[in-house]
Amino acid sequence: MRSLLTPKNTGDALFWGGCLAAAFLLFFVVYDNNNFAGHWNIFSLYVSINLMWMLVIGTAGIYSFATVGVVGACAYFGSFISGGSQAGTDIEGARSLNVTLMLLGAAAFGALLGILIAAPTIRLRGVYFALFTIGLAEVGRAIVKQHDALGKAEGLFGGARFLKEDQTTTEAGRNILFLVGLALIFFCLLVYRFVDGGRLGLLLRTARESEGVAKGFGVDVVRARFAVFIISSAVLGLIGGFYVGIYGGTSLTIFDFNTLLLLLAMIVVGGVGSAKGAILGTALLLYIDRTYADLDNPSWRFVWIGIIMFAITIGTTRGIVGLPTQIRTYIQRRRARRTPGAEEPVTTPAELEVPGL
Amino acid sequence: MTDVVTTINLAAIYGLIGVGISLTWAGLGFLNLAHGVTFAAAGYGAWWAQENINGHPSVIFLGGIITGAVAGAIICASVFLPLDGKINWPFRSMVASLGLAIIGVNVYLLVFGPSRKSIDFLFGTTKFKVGDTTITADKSGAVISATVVMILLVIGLMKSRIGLGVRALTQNPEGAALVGIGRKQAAFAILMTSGALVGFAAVLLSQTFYPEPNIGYLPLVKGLIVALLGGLGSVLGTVIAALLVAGTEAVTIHYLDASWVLLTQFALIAIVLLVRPRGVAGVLEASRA
Repeated sequence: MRSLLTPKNTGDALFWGGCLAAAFLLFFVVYDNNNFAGHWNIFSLYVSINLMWMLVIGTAGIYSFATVGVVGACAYFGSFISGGSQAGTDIEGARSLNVTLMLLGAAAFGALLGILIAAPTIRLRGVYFALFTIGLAEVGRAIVKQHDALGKAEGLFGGARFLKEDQTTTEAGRNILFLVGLALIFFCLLVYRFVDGGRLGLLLRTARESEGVAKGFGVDVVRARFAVFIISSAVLGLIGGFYVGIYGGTSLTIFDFNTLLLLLAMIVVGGVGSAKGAILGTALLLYIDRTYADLDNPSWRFVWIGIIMFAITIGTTRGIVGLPTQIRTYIQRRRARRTPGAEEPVTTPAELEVPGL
Repeated sequence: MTDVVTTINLAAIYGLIGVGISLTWAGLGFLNLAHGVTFAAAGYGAWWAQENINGHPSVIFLGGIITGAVAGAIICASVFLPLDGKINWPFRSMVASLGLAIIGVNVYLLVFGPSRKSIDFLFGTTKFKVGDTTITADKSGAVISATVVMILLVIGLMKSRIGLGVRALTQNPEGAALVGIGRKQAAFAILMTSGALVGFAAVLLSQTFYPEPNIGYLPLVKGLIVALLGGLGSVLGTVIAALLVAGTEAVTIHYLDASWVLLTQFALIAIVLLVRPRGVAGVLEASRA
């Protein structure tokens, strides 16, 4: 446990120390500000989703777009098993679980989905698998739309919540949800560090660089990929359960393709393969999304998000977190070229750097 | 019989969209997710030509095709040229094209607004009967014109110098570079051709998919499905896949409901790809995917 929490270097220590300090301050901001509390809830969910997505896209190098589909499916499952129903219908007492059991159920359902999603990786690679998973959210939406029990287009209302009915609009309620969100982020960071920094992460990175070489070393590539999908999908299922616990229900908007694009933009802008990147990218783009949402023409927010995503992808190799290294390398090369007889610095290519938090 | 007519009509159009994606991936290693935005751009280009130049069908078609080709050139210049050969090229190019798509859709919303634009009937309003089935002029016109364009494309790939270069790139990029085939010139040719093809498809589909900002999403998904099923890099495979996808859609609408179409099409993808991971007629080696 201690090694999971130990920063790798001074920069890491400063970053995570800063995040903890910011979280401490935000606790008091949320107390007084209902609007900000709403932003925090979304931020905590998005960061958590992105951390798990990083494990698949970054660590394992598998282009999977099933993230939103898994979260949505597990949110519907969690709401359904804890009493959620279509608006206007009576809630029967037969389906009623407390929050803890609902979260565990959603996580278990997520793990099951992870097995189903991982199965095609035995045969499919690269963009074939990516395109296969793009459709999963659409499949989820289509299934939900057909069934009364899943609320059809109206969604499911009800389900186990973190707050009691009389707490939802109070300052104490906002602080409880703040701590819930913080706990979720912390848990996802631990899972990320455990997988990415552990043996499984090493196996996945080896297979990512060259599957043939990995198999030659005796790496069971299929088993490693199954493991990362099951772990990440179980946690995504948990996040779906948290969604229900925070909002008291779910709707078709959870499968929205624009949400998938926004999440992808966040991890790309932040830097794929880095937990710091997940947090920075999410914070930056969510700020833009929320700032421009209230304007007369909210399309401007997606224009800005698209421009930032495009510029970061073209201009950087590893997003915002990779910028300091990229700039440093550029300056060193320019100095070396200007100095007669000097050799250009040997720098580690980005793909060989050992990623960390 | 109605299902057969619908299948052939849809297959012709999906084939046009899918072959562009297939060639772009096969020749350049670039999954162009801005293809849907190109579709929408071409629809607006056709509408603009109708409103500001002439309402003649040939002018409308040219407006769509030229706009599509220009959009392809812009994608080449802004995505392919800066990123070709750089670290993590496949993922970065895909994401950059997605960024362009996000920008494009929202710029259309800002400039043109959310309302749909109307394009006149291109092949007239006549109908004729084959047995009990009524076939409209737009359906028969779409099938015939799409078939002619595909034949011209295949001839171009087989006989022209640039077509030879494109085929060499799809089969062996390193070998093509060794013999001096210009990758940049081929990239412009491929992306402008795929843009022109999707522009042509946008005009053919304009009676069903009226030009509006988000109109490109569904054709992009269909094009990806067709390209994937057909096997990236194969025109023949794309044609076969287009028939499979269109047939699935027609049968699903007939026996179930339109809301089940994507579900059945993805089920088809799952079945085909698990049996043949490189698609119906995939020609690429494992190193590409």
